[in-house]
Amino acid sequence: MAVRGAADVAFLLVDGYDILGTVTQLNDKQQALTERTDALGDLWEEHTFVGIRTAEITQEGFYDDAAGSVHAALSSGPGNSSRVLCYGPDGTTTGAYFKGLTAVQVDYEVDFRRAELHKARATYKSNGRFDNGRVLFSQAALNGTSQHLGNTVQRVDASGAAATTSTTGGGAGYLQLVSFTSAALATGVRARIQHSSDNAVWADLITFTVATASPFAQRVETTVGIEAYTRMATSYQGGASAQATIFCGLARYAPGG
Amino acid sequence: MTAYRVLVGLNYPTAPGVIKRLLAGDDLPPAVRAEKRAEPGDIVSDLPAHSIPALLEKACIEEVADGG
Repeated sequence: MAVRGAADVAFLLVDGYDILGTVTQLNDKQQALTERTDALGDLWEEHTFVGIRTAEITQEGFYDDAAGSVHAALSSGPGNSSRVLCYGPDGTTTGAYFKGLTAVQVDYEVDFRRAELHKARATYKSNGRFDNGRVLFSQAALNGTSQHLGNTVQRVDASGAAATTSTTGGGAGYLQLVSFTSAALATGVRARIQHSSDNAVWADLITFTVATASPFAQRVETTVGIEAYTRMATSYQGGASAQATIFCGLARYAPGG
Repeated sequence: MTAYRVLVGLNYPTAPGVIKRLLAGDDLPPAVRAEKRAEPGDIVSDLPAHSIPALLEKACIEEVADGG
């Protein structure tokens, strides 16, 4: 990974809402929960990891009540424990790294001050695993035809070198449908993540629920081994054309992780 | 020619030239691959031969017995 800056934040998607354009600060904190384990007679505190991690994401930015923007996305969210959140700190190219999780939206705060634009803030806490994955399709418009196949993303090993072997710990796939305009006979978007051992024949790995309206998002876990090559594949339910913009990504898990 | 029942949805190329280039390491764009789609339950006999052992091992396909 290279040093990155603000211009590299490629997307912030919450349940299919694209809210990056209103956000001025995003904070992502992952924490290991510990218990103090020093005993009588010890001179220094000791802490032991109890085996549970948590993540918290906070965002700050401008209040915007336009359709599909931050107020529409978050105002009724506090208490929603299944928000699918994805953000990309590493640019927009296929294969770039992204972060994702299912989260509880803890709060939504709006701030009105003299001589300032209205501000909006929100906090999320992880409701399950915090994923580090790679972008398979970076929030772009699909082909207007019946099928769209993404470019291949090849696994890299711990040193960053391209790998040809599979991983065995399973993983999680993410779909964010940002916009969908159906056309004649096309009633939904069917998205899949496929994998291949040879970059020639592709097998379905994860099949998302057919999305019939936007905004929509889904996170799906799999326990099967994932081959070295992965990609996104979509088609329209009904088979005819439509217009849709989606994000798709995949996080691989280490065995036992 | 041996036939196989598809157990997991598959996409695969059928053009010999495309298969040759992919197996040689060319990462061809999707539009060039001209892939065929097979759904679970389909019987196919045109899978790239090189890929069949791995597909059988991973239970993505099963060999169809004569008359099956």
